[in-house]
Amino acid sequence: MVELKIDGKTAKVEKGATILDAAGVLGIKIPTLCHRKKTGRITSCMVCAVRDIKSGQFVPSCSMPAAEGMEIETVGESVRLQRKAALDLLLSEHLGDCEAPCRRGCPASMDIPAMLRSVADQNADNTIDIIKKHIPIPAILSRVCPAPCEKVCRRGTVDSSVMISQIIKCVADEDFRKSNSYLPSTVAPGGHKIAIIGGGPAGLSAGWFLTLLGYECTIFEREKNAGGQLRKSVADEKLPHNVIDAEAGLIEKLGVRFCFGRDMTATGLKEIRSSFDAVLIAAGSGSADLFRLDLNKLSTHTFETGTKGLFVCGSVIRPLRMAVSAVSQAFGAAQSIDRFLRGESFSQRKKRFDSRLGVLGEPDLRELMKNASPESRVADRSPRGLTHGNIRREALRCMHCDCRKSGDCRLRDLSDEYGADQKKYIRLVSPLRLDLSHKELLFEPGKCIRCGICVRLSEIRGEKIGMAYRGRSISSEVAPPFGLTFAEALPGGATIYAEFCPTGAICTKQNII
Amino acid sequence: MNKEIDIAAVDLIVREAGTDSKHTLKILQALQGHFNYLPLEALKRVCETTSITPAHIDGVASFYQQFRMKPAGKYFIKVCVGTACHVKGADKIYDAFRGKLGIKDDDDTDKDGLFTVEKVACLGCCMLAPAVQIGDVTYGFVTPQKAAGVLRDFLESRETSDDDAGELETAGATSGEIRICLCASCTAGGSGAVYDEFKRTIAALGLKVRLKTVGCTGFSYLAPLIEIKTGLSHIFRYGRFRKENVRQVLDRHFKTASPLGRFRANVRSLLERLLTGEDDEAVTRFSVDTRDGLDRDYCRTQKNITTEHAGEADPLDIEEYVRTGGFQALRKVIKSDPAEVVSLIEKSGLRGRGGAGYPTGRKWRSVMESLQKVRFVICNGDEGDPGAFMDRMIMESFPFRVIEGLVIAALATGAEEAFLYIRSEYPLAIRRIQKALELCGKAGYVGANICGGEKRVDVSIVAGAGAFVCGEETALIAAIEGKRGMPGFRPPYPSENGLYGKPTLVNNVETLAAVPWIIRNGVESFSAIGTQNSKGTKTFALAGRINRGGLVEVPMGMTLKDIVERTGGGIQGNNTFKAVQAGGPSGGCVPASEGKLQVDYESLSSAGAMMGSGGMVVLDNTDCMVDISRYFLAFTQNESCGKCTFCRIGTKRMLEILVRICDGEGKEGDIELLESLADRVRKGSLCGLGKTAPNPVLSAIRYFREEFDAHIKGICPAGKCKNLIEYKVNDDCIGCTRCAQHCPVKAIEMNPYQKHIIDAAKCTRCDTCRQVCPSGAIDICSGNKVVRAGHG
Repeated sequence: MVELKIDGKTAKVEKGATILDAAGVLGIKIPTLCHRKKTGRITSCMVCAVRDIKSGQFVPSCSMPAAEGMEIETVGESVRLQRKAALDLLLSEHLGDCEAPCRRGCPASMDIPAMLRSVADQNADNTIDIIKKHIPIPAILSRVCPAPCEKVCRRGTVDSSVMISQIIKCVADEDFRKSNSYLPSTVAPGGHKIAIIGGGPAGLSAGWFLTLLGYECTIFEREKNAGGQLRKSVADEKLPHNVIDAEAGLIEKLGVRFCFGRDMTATGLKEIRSSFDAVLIAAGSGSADLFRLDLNKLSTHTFETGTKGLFVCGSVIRPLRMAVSAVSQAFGAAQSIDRFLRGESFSQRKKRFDSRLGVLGEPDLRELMKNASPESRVADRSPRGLTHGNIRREALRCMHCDCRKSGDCRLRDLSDEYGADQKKYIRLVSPLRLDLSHKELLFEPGKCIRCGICVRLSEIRGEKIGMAYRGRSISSEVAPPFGLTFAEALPGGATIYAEFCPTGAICTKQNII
Repeated sequence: MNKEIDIAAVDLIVREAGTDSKHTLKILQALQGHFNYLPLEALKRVCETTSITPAHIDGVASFYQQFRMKPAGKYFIKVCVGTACHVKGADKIYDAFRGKLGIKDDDDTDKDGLFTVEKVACLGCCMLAPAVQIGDVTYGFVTPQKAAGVLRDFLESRETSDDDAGELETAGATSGEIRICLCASCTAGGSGAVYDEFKRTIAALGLKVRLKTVGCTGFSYLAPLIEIKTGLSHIFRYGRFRKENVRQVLDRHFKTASPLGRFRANVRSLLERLLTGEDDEAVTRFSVDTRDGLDRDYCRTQKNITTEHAGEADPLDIEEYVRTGGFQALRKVIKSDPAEVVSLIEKSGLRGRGGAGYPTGRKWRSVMESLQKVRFVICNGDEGDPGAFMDRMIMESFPFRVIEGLVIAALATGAEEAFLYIRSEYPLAIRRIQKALELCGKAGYVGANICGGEKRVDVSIVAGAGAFVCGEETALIAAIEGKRGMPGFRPPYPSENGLYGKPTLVNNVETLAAVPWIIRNGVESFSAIGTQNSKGTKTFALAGRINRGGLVEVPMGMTLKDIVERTGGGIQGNNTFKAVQAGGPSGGCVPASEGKLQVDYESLSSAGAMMGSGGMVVLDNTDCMVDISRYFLAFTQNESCGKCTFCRIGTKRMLEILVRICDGEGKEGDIELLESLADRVRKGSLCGLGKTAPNPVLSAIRYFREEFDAHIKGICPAGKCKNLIEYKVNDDCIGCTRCAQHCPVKAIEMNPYQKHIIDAAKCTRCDTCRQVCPSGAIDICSGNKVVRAGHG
């Protein structure tokens, strides 16, 4: 047995165990990229650096054997900076967008590429689920939204953007037509009551999100119907009132109570607050004055006013040009109210790390087009252009700029945690490459960090061809040998490679045809 | 790609080399030898017939520099880009050859498939810098404008030898070859007359000797130079040769025909006289080739231990080696207790000569004390440092000494199997060691029953395939195992878990070569030399801006100033001593102001440099320190195995910053960014290559920060960085038009008797005009100031 100290705590481990093993025994977490139990020590990423206090040197904890009397430091500024330096360097050659431009462009941050993949896969339930995760009123929004997503759609630089909002409209309308329109399961109500003042896009959405989180919501609306400003100012042929009523109806079905014709300014805030655990004012522009709200103390991160338990969102703060922005704020406000009611503190909502490709040139666009159907737009922009019958063809035009591992990427998680900086160094970018040859897997060498896990895994599994380390220096790569395709290198049933790859270099295709 | 290839040849190669994956390197080397490159079909065939996987063979083939995936030209033009050649303009020479052959973009071979132009890390001809090797001919002091002449010379010499003109060959098998250069400078030195004398005498004696004219070797100051080749491994060169010596030389090297048999008896006495130099002084004998010991006579400051008997010993004469004390140490060791031998080496204070200077005895002890029975000993002959060729010279000139040291190490550590890993760029060293091993085997110094006793040590050679990183011991072990030369994390150290997982001792060539001397002369004689912590001597490859470059072996602790001024004969021309780059890509620049520094491991490290392998390139005021930093970083980046993040990406980002600074695109904050990144790379890299890669940059910033600052402001004070300088004609121009005639891009209009003007837009800063100008009328300006005046 060997005894050593890690962050001041004493650990006893078998001889031959590494510092990482010893830290594991103590429950101390050390980040790793190239290390997995099954594939053993490779020592390539150097992200697991820890400091040997006696020598002052950094050592890779995944490979350094624990030795008697060692004193190791795994936290602190110097260790953090050394790990961050490794991540900065890895990111400096990372070729990929974590999130697609369309999703970045959507104020509600809807997962558009995933939605389009689902449409292509003809999985209607999944599609509406993806949509409603961020946009509870898609039938309404798709009719009024200026679609900033389409303006930044990369397909637009090739020929014309994917008709995202019309696809959403078709999906949402189709959902209405069904007898069992989509209703997600909700968290069991916990007894908290929330008053939402205003039945416009912000109020409706907030009602949906909060009900999903297990709150009893009541929407108080001055008018006799839902829709707020949209109902008044948008022409009926563009946004028929029955669409608004139908979508509000689904929200009611989810469990939200509607009280129409109730002007709450008369009731007064004090009274409302006395009968509810939290109040959200989403009554549109100008309503701040009506409720005599002091917005000077408003936190734009948490949507909480100076008064405890009183929240605001939507045009009440300042007039919004797009309804989708109100939906986005409703999402944020719902999260804050949830934390408030659970007694959790508000953590500053930080933007998640997002690797960026930037503007692509002609050859890179061509490469990315491998993901997409080459067909031009299926229909024109007229309201009747796209129908439920041909949305799949249109959805197939998506280039899938996003990373399929965006929610499950170790590199992204660590970059986020360590505040890594992708732009620290001016980088000379190499061309984008996509290998779609494999039935189940997608191989994108530009996202590879040369950790060597797949090479080792090929050896362990005794692959006939396998993945190889090739070349050296900055131009070294992990690739199939002999210029073969990814499908030739790895046979079917190889999803374990996607599971072991710490980045999006190898990922499952998720229904890209 | 599906070109038909000779599958039978592939199968034969596999049969001879073996089918295990540890034979990968050997198989690839044989394939390349056969096909001149590695055809894809051949590699696939190897995978079909062996246990080697495609991932493995492709990984290995793409890792080592030696291997090519596409066909090469008939001849290789190897432009040396070692440090000494770099500072003397190797890049311009490389560009000139490509330009002359019309090779563009990513190609490296001309369209006729005659020449392949490539850069090589170091040809080991640092004192002839810049040097170029074509086929087996070395050209020294090459300039861009000489490129065409060199090509012509080479082709003409091929032509004459191809159609047998100028060759004399008698019927029947030849017993050797005499090569004479008939180029302009050699003819001027009298080679024509020597040639005629050889022709006459060979005919008169009826010798079966081929007389051949060859291209210039570039050693013009030794003209006329003759080269005598007898059998595969014997090449002898004679400089400043006179026709009166023709007969002696023929008698010495070739069996004369029977009517002249009486001469045979005289051969040995002639040979002895030649060796002791009692004969005609005009015959300057060089034991291996001209590179060796060139300036030995000048170097009174030296102390020869690893290079004992330099310039006198016949590398492959085992009797002579024994006569001069060879194998005495081995005989002593064979009778001693290994533990005694190990403590002897410990007491001597000998430290590893290849890098960081780890105590040799301590390394030996940990292997000796291992509980495992099977152990290995490896001699690291993978000297890849640009500007270093000590190990090459030791292996070529003193193969028996290296073998003796290796066998002693094996006996002391209890290994029965030893390997000599020699880089493939050293074919002569490989041949010599091979031959020496055969001789040692016959004489009972290696193999079973060493010195008639019970002990056994089998020694074999592993040829490297071109990878600087394989000098790192874990990478070297990987290479011997037939893998990519990627270092592994230490611990475990090779002494506990090395070759094939067994305890392994890895020692450098020079270290092992010192061992026999220490044992023969006693520990005290060795430890009496040197400083407190660095005992004995160190060989250095001294090159750059000095008068007498070459190999020197000096006592540890000699001052830098003495090495440069006394041993090296001072700085060339009227320039001033600026710095010494010591330790190559792992080392750093020690400025002239630190000249009093006593050279040993610790003092060099504290000065920001490193002993490294022992390259010493002397720089003067015309050398740009930013450019030197960039040069070394480009080298290490290219040699990075590509495994760990800091070395693979970190050195690349550092290089990009340096390139930007040299190109005049540096910005405020770049130097600081460079420093902080260098610090991370040093602390975070996996192996020694990455950990030391920032040294050249950090030491340059430490001593010459103002030069970096000047570059950011757009000025290269040394007048070196192309984007920051301009060539201008000053008033000393006499209107001779030579510059205009030689300008390769027509940036100067011919204007007889008038002051010429250089069109800055067309000028490529190739320096040709400056070199051909007879009146020193071309200035180099930077930031609108003359930084190097025409006459300077």
